Amino acid sequence: MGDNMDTTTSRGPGTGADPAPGIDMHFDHWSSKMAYSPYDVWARLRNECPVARTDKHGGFFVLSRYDDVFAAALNTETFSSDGDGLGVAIPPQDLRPLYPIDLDPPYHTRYRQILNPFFNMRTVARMEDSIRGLARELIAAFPASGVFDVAAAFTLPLPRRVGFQMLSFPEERTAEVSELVEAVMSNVVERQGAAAPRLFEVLSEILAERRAKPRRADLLDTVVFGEVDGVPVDEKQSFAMLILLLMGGLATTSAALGVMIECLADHPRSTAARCRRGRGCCSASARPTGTTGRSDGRTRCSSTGSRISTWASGSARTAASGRTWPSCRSRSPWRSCWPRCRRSWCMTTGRPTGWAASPG
Amino acid sequence: MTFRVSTDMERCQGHGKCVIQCPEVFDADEQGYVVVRAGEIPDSLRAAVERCVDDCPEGALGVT
Repeated sequence: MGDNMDTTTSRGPGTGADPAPGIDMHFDHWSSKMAYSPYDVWARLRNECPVARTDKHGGFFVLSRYDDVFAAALNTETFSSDGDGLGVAIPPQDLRPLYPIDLDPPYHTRYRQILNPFFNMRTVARMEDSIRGLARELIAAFPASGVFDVAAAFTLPLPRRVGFQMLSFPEERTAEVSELVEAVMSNVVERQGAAAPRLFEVLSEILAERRAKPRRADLLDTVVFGEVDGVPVDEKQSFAMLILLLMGGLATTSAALGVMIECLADHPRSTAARCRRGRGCCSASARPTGTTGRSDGRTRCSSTGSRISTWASGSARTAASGRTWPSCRSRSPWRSCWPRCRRSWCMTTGRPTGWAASPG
Repeated sequence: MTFRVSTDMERCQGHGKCVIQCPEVFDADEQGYVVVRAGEIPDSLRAAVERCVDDCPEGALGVT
């Protein structure tokens, strides 16, 4: 397959033995290599082949430099999230389009707008006390030995409880939905096996139940009855929004939390400094566990944060591993190393559009 | 000396990173979109604001 690759858009070293730069790496974001130890791969891509070609999943291009990814993320005409209906995921997922991430502006903006009231800073700030209460409850239950899987004990259950509370999901459904979402997220390449149809079934029931009930001003109400440009969302759109909220609310948030705990654990001195400065990273009782809270699992940070969720699938069962950030080995305080760290290794913001383009 | 901050409200999606990083200059409205607190910003905040400009995921901020 690699022999037929178009080399005209590649900017790698381009030796005769390497007709499509990067092709020899067979880059696959779903491989266990990328899940557990991706940094040398990213470094090689950035240094040797910033626009690489891979033969995996039908073939696609991979951007790895910050400026390139950023520019592509903003250039939605060339790097469409809609992708002619294929959506942002590589390989394309059965569950698509996911609203709103598989849309381009202006539609993306409109669908995002109806969800924004529940996620904007002021709304979330009002939830701080209750989330802090949940966090403290979980922390109080940490084993006294100090050695445990921080994902199982904290980074998975906290977002679940907050997420299901926000969605006002029926209590008796939350355990099953959590498991199904995790199964779906950790098995994307194999098309989610039996979990996806079951998740579809359960969520359809939940949506139907809500549709039959009187309106109430909550998030699930917006998912079911929301209007975009005066037109009510249809059932398929409701379902797609709900799936995305679950993936983002449970999986992505768990993974992000794991990455943060890892970073804090790797920089315990500056963590303490942040706490003293009252920067809001933690309260006295919610102090990160330093080196004791590490699990056997691994956290990884992709070059595009929106992929953290999917890569960390397996899932954020992972969380804090013992490794340090390759670009954060300086003795500088966490605050000053973080922007560098983020720019080169773990940009947490880019939209998925920027990360790779399907072949034309 | 002072400087000004420009915002592109069509681009702003309310990520709020600027509000978190530089609350002296940026605020969020009821919907979560960016509001610049003052027209003229003192130069002492320039470095912090420039970092916000660089970090905005939507490229919605600028310094003039």
